[in-house]
Amino acid sequence: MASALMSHETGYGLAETAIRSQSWLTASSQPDVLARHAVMAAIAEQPGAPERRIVIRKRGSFGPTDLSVSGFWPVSFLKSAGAVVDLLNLPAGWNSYSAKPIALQNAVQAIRLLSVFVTPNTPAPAVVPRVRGGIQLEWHAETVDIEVYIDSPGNISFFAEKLDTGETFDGPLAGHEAVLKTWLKNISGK
Amino acid sequence: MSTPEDCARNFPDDPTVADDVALMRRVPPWHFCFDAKLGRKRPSSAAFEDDDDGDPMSVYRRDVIDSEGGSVQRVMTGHVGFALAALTAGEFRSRQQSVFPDPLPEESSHAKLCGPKPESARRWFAKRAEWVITPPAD
Repeated sequence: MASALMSHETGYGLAETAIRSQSWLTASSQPDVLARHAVMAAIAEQPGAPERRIVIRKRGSFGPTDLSVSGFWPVSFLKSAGAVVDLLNLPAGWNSYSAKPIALQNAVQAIRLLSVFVTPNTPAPAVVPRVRGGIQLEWHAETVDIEVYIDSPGNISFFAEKLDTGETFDGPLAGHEAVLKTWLKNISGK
Repeated sequence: MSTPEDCARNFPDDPTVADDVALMRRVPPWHFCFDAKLGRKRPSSAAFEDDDDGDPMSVYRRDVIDSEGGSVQRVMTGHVGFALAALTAGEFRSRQQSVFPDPLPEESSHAKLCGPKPESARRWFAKRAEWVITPPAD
C-alpha cells in the first residue's frame, strides 16, 4: 500500500502524488503541500494497513526511491522522517564550510531506523546532518543522552550515556539493536 | 591529515595563542539541539567535524577580532540563522588539537584546529561549547 506524507516546494520531498492517492485522508488533510502537520496527524491517527511505503522523490527527476515500513506511524516518526527528507535539500557547503550534501542512501537508512526504533511514546529525535553526507539522530533527555551515527547503510553506530549512573554504550548498531531499544525506553513516556 | 604527527608537520600548534583565547565556530541551524538537562539549545557534536576534503576544522580567534576593534558579527556575514559557539584554545588543546593560525585575506582571525576528532571528542566539544551568538529564537 503506497502512502506518503508531504512534498516540498523544491528539491526532495515525500511524494505528493502518493498523498493524493490516500482515500482515507480526511477532507481537512487533503494534499495541501503546506499543510504538513495536518497530513501527518491524519496519517498518524490511522492504525491502518500493516505495511506502508514511503516514496522519496526529487522533483523533476525520474527514479524515485522508496522503502517499506511496517506498522502504523507515530507522530514522532512522521515528524522525524520529514526532517530527514528536508536534509536532502541541503546544498554542498550547507555548514558554511565544506560539508557534502546528504546521501540519499543515508536518508533512507535513517527513516528505516526511525520506523524500527521510534514508538508512539518515543520523543522525536533531533535529526542532524553530518559533514560527510551522513545523518545523526540525537536525544538529550534529563539524565540520558543517545546519539545514533549513520555514515553509510553499513556503518551505523551509537553512543548512549546515563548521567546519574555513569552507564554508557559506545559501539556498532549491528548486533546491538536490542540495546538501543532498551536505551530508548529510558527516555520514552509510559 | 588529523593524526598528531600530520598535524605537527602541517598545522603545528602556535603557543603564542594563549590557552584562554576563545576560538569560535559557526554553527548552522541544523546543528542546534535542545538539551533537556540544560533547558536550552546547544551545538550538536556534528558541528565539530573536520571538513570532508581533509582540511582541519576552521575557527575564528576572538583575540584577533578584539585587537582589531572588530565585532564577532563580522564572521557571521552572509550566514543568516547561524549561531557562534566557542571553546578556549586550552580546552581544544586538552583534546589533542593543535591551534594553527591561518589568516585569510577576508578574515584575519581564521585558524585551523588540527587533531583527531573521534565522536567522543566531538561530544566533549559540543557539551563544553558556549554560545557567543545564540541561536535565533524559534
